[in-house]
Amino acid sequence: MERSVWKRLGIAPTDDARAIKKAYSARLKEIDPDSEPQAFIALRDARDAALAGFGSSGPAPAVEPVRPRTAGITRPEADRDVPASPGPKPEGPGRRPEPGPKPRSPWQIPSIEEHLARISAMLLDPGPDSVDADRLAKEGAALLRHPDMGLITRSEEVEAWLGQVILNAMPRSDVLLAPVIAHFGWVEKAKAWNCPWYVEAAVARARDCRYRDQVLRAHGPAMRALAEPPPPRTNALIAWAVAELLDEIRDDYPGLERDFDPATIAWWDEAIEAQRQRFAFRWLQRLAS
Amino acid sequence: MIVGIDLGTTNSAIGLWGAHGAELIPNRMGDTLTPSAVSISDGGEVLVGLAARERQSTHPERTATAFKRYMGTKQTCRLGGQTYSAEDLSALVLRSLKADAEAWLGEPVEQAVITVPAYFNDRQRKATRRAGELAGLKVERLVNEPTAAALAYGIHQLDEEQPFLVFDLGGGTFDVSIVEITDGIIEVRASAGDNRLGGEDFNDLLVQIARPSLNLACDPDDARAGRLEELLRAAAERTRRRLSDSDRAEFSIVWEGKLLSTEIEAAEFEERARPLVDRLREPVLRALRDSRIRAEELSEVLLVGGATRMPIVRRAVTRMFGRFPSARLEPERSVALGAAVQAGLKAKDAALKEVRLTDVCPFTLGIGIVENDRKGGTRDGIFSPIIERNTVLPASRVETYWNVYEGQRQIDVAIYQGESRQVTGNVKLGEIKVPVPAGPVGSVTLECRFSYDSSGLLEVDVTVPKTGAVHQLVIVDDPEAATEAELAERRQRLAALKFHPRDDAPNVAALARAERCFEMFLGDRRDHINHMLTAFRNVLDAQDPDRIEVARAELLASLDELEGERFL
Repeated sequence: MERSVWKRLGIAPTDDARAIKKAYSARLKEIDPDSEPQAFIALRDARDAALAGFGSSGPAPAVEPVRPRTAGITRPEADRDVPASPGPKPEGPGRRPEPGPKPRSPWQIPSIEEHLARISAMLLDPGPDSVDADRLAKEGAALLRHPDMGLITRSEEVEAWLGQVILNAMPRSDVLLAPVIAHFGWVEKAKAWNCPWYVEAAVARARDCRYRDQVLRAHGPAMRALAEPPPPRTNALIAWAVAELLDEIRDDYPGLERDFDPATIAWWDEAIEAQRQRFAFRWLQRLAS
Repeated sequence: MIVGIDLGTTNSAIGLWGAHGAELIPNRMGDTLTPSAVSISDGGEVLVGLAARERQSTHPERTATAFKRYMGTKQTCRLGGQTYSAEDLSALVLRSLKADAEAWLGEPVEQAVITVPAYFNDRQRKATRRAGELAGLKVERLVNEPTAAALAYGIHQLDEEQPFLVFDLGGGTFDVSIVEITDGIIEVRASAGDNRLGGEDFNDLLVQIARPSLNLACDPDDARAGRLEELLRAAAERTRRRLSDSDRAEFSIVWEGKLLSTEIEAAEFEERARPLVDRLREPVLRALRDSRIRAEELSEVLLVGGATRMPIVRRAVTRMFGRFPSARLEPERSVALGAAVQAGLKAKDAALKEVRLTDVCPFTLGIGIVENDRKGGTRDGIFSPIIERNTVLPASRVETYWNVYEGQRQIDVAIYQGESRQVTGNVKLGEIKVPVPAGPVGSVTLECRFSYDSSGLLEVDVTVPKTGAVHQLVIVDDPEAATEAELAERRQRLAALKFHPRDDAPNVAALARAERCFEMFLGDRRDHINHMLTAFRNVLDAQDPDRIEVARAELLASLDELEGERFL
């Protein structure tokens, strides 16, 4: 296998990309891709294999096994618990500036890096205080408005960086979701088969948040009951409401369950189960009488 | 003789590879650009080009333009009592270009290379091919427009390894391609685009801006509404061109004998055009991402397409890349010049022997599959890509799939093109029903091979390894696809259409323009035009070629004075 790649290119094994491309060009001129598609495909595969460094272990297999597809959203727990590192980030943005803000003249606008550093500090090292949502939203808006964001490469780096940071800092990053999703058109992008993971997660999270806010407005008590520490006792009415809400969350917005304290959820599950049993018992009693 | 043809939304052009390299062939009017417009005269004769364009506002019910946007769809339009598809109309334009080339060359032209937007899908490409065939041309190859533009810029003569970005905003489509050159090999690294974005959208926007202040009272159901739309569109085109050089421009039409006019500020236009300009970014990003080339590494950004003359577009490009783009060639003509280079390559011209061109598949091709979801159920209609977007062509790829339930006797392989995770968001190209032996889930496999060539021809081979059966798919990409017989009939119908005599075309165009101007102006100027028209008609009746030429030149000069220079 190894030999055939280099033989096809007509050169000795090398890791010099320029030499590989030169050899490919020379070989390509000897064939007509339109009338000899098989020869072209073989040459092209050899070039790609050589460039990818596969040359030493043979070209990539022509027949790929079916890729396992995982459905649904399963956010790795580790991501949530290690908020200190924003995950793989592109070079450039995300680098922290020297500690201590430099004095600046008032007409000088902060660089993209400074915005990123401040957002990163707020989201990933929040310290003892919780995140100041207003400040975070302002910082995000300033970043998206930044004139350098017009540069297409810059904008893409920031997009990927924000995607990772938002993902890792959920739910603290909720306030950034709506503007970032709108700015980069993530709702459309999430429909693509090869969209980045963070885009899918952010759009799903935004949907969860919209549902949560809507429920809070419409029938708040059940949602508030889940958000607060368990009450000393409960009544049947609120228990039924919580049961209904939990069912809906688990069916349609599974990501939302993580927003609540697991102990509280467990307490309510127990209370609901007890309530159900009481109800069934009473019903049986009435039936018997 | 192979010619290269740019079949554009607004204008088309034809060229060839001659002794001095690529050159464009002038049409009957002496122009190298022929408006992509078709009009049927009152006598039932076909007019193509400038004469048809001039009749657009005076005879909207007999004139068609911008039909490239409906290529490959079933949408038809009625002109003078007959129904035409976009394919038919394109065939008429191609036939006219072919006649011009034959007259100029003095020999028959039978083969052609035709350009298409890189983002044209399989159906649109097939429709373009058929249009060529209907016009009596053997279509040797379809070339993506950005690739052609890169050829026109002569990047095939460069030796260095250099990536270029071609930014092509035409009348109706937007294409971005990244083209790289290494030792005489031109490689398209990535293509992306939006086939519903172009200069016409900016015209529509200008109409929207101007309309409220024109106080037009016209019911959309009114029979004259169509005509009004054409008048507004033509006015918008003029205003847009003027806005390219000045801060404000007049938007005026004559409707029901009254001059309605308003002034449009460049600043307001640019503000309102921002959503359109924003749509230019995504395809650029996608092309850069797919080719893994950073914007800073690009050696040049080439502007192609008439709409890139707009300052707002040039500024947007400059902002995106942090530098100025290049426009050494006229943006309207570079694609046709490149098609001519490609025609030379195809004819294996000695001067071009050393060049090879590889292109990419601009969209993803795959099949619809069933996927297990995490609740233990299944979801149907998930897209599984086989040839991914921006794969070098020709390409051949295999994926393996298996049966979904025990005892399954048939697997439906539906072929889709697109980027959406759900197949419903993609374009269905065809379907093949493969009988399979029954067996437990996962025990019966299918090998699905897609082979796609540089002309956009897709072959699907499905093999069932258990039985050794091979099924080759004849894609019925269009359930109502024309059969050979139907095609022959259509060819005949089009051939039976009488073209207006070629030599007379400049006169028809001049008359059509004068008639349009007559309706555009009021008062003394209208009287003046009327006077000139009558005089010109009298000269035409006398049938003295020399006098006709002089009179026509005088008429056109007066019209130029009245309404500014004519434009294509």
